[in-house]
Amino acid sequence: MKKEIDFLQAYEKKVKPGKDIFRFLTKGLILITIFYCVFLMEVFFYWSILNKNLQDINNKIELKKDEIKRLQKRESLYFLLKNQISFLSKIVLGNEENYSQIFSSIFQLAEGKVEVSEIKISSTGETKVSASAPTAFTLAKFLDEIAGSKDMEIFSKIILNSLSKQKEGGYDFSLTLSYDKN
Amino acid sequence: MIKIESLNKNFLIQFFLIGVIIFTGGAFLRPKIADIFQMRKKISEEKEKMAKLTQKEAFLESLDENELIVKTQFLLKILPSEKDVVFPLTTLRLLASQFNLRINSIQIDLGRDKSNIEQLSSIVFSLKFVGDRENIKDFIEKIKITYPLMKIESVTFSKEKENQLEGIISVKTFFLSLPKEIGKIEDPLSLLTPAEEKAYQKVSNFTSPLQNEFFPSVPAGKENPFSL
Repeated sequence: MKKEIDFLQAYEKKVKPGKDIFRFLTKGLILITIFYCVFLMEVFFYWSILNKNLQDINNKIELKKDEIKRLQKRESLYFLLKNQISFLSKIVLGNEENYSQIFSSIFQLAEGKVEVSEIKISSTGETKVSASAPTAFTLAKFLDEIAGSKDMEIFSKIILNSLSKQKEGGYDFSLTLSYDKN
Repeated sequence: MIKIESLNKNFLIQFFLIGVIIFTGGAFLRPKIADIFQMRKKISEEKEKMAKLTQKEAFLESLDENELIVKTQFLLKILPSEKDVVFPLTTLRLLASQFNLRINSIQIDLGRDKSNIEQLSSIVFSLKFVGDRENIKDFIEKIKITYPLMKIESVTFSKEKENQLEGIISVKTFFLSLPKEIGKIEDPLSLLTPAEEKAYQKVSNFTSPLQNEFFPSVPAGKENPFSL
């Protein structure tokens, strides 16, 4: 009597569906928990590194501050120097009239032609000249020279304010020389 | 059936435990993450502060204290910190006598503080004098390079005699009160601008007709340890 064995017959696992799902979920949850814990540790580790860095930087800052405090005398001196120079530059580097040049040029131009009685130079550079000329010709020559002089090139306007004839024959006149600073 | 129920129960316990872990972890995590963001921001701020302090320290280290003392003392002579009538008045009188100008009158105007700058104040001197034209010209030029700093506001000349002029010159002298504070330790020091350097170069040639003139000198090289 022959006995046959059926090799093709598959082993039928007796599946209990609920049990497997729970096992799978349990494993998944444990895995998630492990990852979560690792993440937590990393966060904490990173936080502690940052905290240490911050402390180190703060310590270094304190050291720097102490160093700067040690140099406070130098800092005060430099601060004072800077303060003085910055105000000085505002005063010194501003436009300043060349009073001596203006007045000596006018006297030079007037020499032998007209008699200058008064020159007024204001801080704006406006120059008023009062003078007298013996003849109309000398007066005209003076005006012509003052308008054409290189020293007087700074003035953009020359105004003859008044002109009056003297009893003796000469002329009294006054001029205003001004310019636009811009 | 009984086994599945017990598994379900176990799973629920595990689920509950894991939930507790996640919840407590989250409670711990949230402030830490917020802290991390804050700390990162603070670290970058502190690093910037540190860089500024390092720069400031290096700059201060590079300064020569003696040179600073000499320069500030000299600048305080040019732009005094306290209102003083005597020093500019004496200077003007000495300058006038140097150029053979005869002073007829001096008017002092103390109350002309029209400056918009709070720290800055001024006194205006009006000098009436008689002298030679050339001497007056030199006098005006000299005022420009004499300390204390004086700025000519206006000039008037009228003929007195032959070659003699009568002049009225209005000169403004300036005073700058000392700064009250030097600012915070973290505040950076601003460097001198080219315009300020130019201004310093200009005023460093200023002199005074007064005795014991003070010239700016910068000590250089090593100090002699044997000098008394």
